[in-house]
Amino acid sequence: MPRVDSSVSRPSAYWRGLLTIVALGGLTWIEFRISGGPVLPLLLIGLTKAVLILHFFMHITRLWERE
Amino acid sequence: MTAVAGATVRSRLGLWLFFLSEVFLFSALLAVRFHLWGTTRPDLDQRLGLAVTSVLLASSFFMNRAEAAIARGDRATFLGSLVLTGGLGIIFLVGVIGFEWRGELRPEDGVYGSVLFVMTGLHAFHVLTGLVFIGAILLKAADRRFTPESHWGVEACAIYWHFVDLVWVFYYPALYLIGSPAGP
Repeated sequence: MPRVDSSVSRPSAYWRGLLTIVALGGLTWIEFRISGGPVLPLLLIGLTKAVLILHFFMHITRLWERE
Repeated sequence: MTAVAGATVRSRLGLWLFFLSEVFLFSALLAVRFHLWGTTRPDLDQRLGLAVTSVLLASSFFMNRAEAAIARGDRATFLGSLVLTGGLGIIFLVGVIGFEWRGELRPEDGVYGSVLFVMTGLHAFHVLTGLVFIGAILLKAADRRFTPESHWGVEACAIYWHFVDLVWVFYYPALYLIGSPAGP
């Protein structure tokens, strides 16, 4: 029987998801406001959002965790 | 490691390898956009772009909530969040296909129209696939197939949905924000 995944079983998982979406929303608003400007800030914001999604939503670290 | 846990580890690796192949596909279209559009872009409805992006991000939040809920055995929150995720996915599709695609820009309008429709079309197809995936998970959930100890199907569906969101994180600025409006 596989154990329950600790990264989503704690009560704080809901809060972590909420904080993640607040951060993603804030970054999206910033990139909307600087639209048409230099590409580099938009690229950096996109990469930051990608890291947040990969880590907190897609749980990429499970790939190298043993069950 | 038990046999079930080992199968989950292998399935997870297989799903991520699938994503790797998808990254090549979506990246190729991004390269096409920057090659053909350069530092210009079509004059799209900025508010619509922000709205559909916000809807897709919100759907990822509810998908994450659904996954966390099934891991805790909270069935009501799991089902409710999954339905909300699907609903927001449908709203995203309506925004892109029902509104953006019915704007002034048509697929035959040179590089601006063709690139816009190919990129949003391929992405919308993946959202549609994700909705089918969510429907399948809801059907299985109705039979109580998922438990806090065993819910790989939910995890796979969630990761897929977040991947579609991840692609849009790069498509949104590429289509709506980068460069100055120059197209039709």
